[in-house]
Amino acid sequence: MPEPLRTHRGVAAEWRTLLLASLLLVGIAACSRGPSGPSRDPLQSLPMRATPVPDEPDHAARDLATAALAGDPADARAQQKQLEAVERLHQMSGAPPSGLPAYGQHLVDATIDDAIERRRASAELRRSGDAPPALRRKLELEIADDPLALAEARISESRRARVARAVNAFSQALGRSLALVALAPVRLAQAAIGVAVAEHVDDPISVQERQALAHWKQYVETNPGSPETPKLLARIEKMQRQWFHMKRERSVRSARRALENGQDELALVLASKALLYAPEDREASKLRNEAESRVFARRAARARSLEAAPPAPGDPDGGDPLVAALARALLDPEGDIPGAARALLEAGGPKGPYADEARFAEALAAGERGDESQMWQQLERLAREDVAERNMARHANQLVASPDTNPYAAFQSSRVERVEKQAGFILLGPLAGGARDRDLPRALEWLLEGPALVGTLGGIPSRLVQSVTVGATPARTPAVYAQRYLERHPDGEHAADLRRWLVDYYADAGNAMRAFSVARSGESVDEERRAELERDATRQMLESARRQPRRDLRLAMLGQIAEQHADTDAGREAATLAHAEFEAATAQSIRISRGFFLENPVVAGPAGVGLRPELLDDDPRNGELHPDGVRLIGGRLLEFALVAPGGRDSDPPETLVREISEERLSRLVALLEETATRNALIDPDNDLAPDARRDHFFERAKLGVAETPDMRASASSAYAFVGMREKYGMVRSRESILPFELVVQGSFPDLGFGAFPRLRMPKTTPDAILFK
Amino acid sequence: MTRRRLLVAAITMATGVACGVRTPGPTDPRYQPTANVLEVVATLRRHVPDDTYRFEPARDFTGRNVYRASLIRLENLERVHADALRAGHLDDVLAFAKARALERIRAYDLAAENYRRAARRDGELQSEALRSAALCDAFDEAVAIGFEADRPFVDGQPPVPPPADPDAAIAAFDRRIALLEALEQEAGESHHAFLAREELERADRARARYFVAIRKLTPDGDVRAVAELQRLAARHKDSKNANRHLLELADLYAALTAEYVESRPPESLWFEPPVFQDLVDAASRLYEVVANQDGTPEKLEAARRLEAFLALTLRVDRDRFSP
Repeated sequence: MPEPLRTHRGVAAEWRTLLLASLLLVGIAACSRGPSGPSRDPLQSLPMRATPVPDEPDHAARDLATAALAGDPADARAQQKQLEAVERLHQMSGAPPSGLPAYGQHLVDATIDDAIERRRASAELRRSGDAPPALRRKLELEIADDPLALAEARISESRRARVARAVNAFSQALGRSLALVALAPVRLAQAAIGVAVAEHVDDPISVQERQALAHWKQYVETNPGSPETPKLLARIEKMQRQWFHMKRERSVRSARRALENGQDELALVLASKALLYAPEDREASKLRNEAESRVFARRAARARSLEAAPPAPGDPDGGDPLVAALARALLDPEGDIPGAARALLEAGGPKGPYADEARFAEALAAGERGDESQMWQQLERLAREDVAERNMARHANQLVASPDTNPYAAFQSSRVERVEKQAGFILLGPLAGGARDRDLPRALEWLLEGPALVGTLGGIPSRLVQSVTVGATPARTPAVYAQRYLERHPDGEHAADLRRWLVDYYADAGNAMRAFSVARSGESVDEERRAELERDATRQMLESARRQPRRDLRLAMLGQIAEQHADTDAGREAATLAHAEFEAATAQSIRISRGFFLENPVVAGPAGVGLRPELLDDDPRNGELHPDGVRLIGGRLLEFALVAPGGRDSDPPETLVREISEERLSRLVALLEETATRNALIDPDNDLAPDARRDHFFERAKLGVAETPDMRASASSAYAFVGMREKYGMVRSRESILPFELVVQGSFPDLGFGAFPRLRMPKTTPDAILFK
Repeated sequence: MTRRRLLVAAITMATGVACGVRTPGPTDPRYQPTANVLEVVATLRRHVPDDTYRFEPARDFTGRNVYRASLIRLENLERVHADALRAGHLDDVLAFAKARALERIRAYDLAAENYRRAARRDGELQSEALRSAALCDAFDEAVAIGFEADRPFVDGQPPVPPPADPDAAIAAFDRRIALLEALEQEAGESHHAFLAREELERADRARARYFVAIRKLTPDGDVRAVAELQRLAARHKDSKNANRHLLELADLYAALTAEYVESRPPESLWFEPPVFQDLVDAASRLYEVVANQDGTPEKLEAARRLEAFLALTLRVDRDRFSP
């Protein structure tokens, strides 16, 4: 008995040993993979969901939608009542609120034809407090879209802007006089003058008032039978008159200025335009007549210059063989111009009838010999002579003065002009160009500048310091002429100097690429400098390639740098970057950051991408999603960035690519779009920026045709869905709700210091640009 | 002068002043009539070697094209000084100078005729006149080849219909270009080489415009039109019209964008944001390139057109496109 028992026990012990050994092996095996390590699959299985059975509120909502779509408002209202009743019963039975009645009411309100009534209904729904946040925001936008309210808001903004301007001017004058009270009367007087001038220069109708006019017109057109319409028509008429008055004012003012500047043709057009708005206007008619007579006079003079002078008693063209010889020499490509000109000059003497023609010809010959300086000297001498006596003086003057024919002189004079302007600015500051134009008599404009003169002169030291430390603005005009000279005379007398000047100019202006391009167009820049410029230029090209958002263009730029500047560091770096980008290129690169998933868990959850919850639980032991998040890389592929085992968020992630089902992809992109749109509605800072290529990919994904990725580089989107904390940090700066701000202001020019409150000016609406 | 006459004169003056009669001011001496042939020839000579392919033709002191102004002045001199010139001692000079002016304003047939007239007289201008006449004849022949929608009508001749077949049009343009390239070679270093380049550019532009005009008639018309304008811009980068070619290409992209919005409204399902984006990018990039060219009139044109073009994009929903 004991044997069998032993045997039995022995078998049991054997089994126990085997079991223990197996457990040990399993344990060892488990330990070899790390203690409870993260699953390699970042996605959880899609939940098996039973088809939801519609409940009573669902049916009631269906009936309401049917009634509304069928265009039966009465039935819709009845169905809404039914929905509310069903919802009450539903909640009494312990079910959570469905949230449908508020949306139902919104639908019923949408069946109201009258816009005013509809907005009232929306306001009532909003006041009821039943609407969820997204619907509430939508209601707010609908309520705000009231032409009358918008018009009143614009009118009020216009008034506020004028008041704020005046108040701020006096407030600033007082605030800046705190340190020097003695100056207060002067500053207050200046402020008063400033406000008066601003009122004078102001258009009769402001941009905001014109916006209001457009809103009123819209209201009257859409609601002709409204009780407000007759009153509005009178206001529209009045404002329309002001609008025409303003157009007339502007045209007359510009015409006057054009006439003062000798732009007669422009003045004629502007004065005629003013007459279209005010046909009987005396000032516009006067300006138009004046401009017209000047234009006609100039045209007549120009026409006269084409005529031929009658033969002089001495018969100028009547057979002087030396004249004919010079004419032939000038026309013959091989002609001896200097010889013929000299012969004519010797025969007639320096005061002879053809002396200036001969000198002009000599100058041309010098230019063709390559003696640029001599040509321009001779032409300048001729240009300075009396045009009434020397007919060639006008032609010489044209050649000398034209920046096209004489770009070097234009280059030099523009540099001088620039120095003069700079000196003028240092000495006179804002008054360097004369008293500011305030549409007043010039003497009065100067008089108004009087109080500012002391401060302007006192600011000379600070402007001097400013011009030395900050430096002058780049000399663009001389650069244009220098460039023009080099285009026309790449081997001209001044080419080397101008090339060096241009290289320095572009290098100083931070345009290394252009500087290098100029440097290599000639020999005047030494090898060492050229190599330095090439280094800077390629570095700049590399930076701009990096900034290029489109991959195809970026790769083309990198390729060009790598190919054409292979010997430079930037060239080598460009080659490496291009290679790395080719290696890592994916059809798409739409990223959803971890921050976005955390702020929008619905996108991360089973209704969206279906991430395993432990990847977002901030516990690195069970695996964690890297801040880079998940990338949609084209087709049905997702790339997961995971925090490397034992790593931190700041370390490079470990990536894992996983193909997902068509259903999961379409659900993910639909939810992403929906969530981002809702976020943008609730919080304007959380805007969904437009991205055509992202939208295109999403559309394909939703239709289930994203299977074949579009491999064109231009089809790739690099859009990133990121969380608000990632965008703005922990605390987002908010605009103050106070109607004013406190300003502390110091001024170098007059060594003034002050503190004062300043009323906030109303912000212009985005469509203001359409009214300017 | 008698007392009565003095009185009458004083009354007349007083009346004139009272009525505000203004006597015309002295004419600016700059605008006095042309003094002599040499004045015109010297001015013209200054601008004969000008590279009018790369740079704008020069303007005289009145702001007129210097070649056209010279031609008019020479013709007026011929009329006013007809008696003095009857001896014919300046016939060759006048004819040659007019021919030089005429060829620069594309009147090749008249230029050739004037060159031949100048060559009738033995002298230093004869050989150059004959050479230039032959070149102008060849230019005249070349520019008549191929279809050009904006070619001026010739009185008494019916307008030339456009070729029905693009291949035939290309063959004609190729023939014209081959002839002009041969002329460019023949002209060597002379200013006629610039004329040849200008004509080559004109031929390329006519070809591109032909394809732009027929783009709606062929399935790949838009693509072909864009390619032709790109070819024009690429082949004539050095031309004075380079910016204008870019503007023309930008305008075509802008037109394509507008047509796209018309045919596929942004709210419709056929509207594809990437296609729209590509068209907008292409047009605005080209406008920006031209708008950045300091010192050119096209800069203003491009900046304003870009502004107008971007206004078109306001019609598209902000979530589908944002300029």
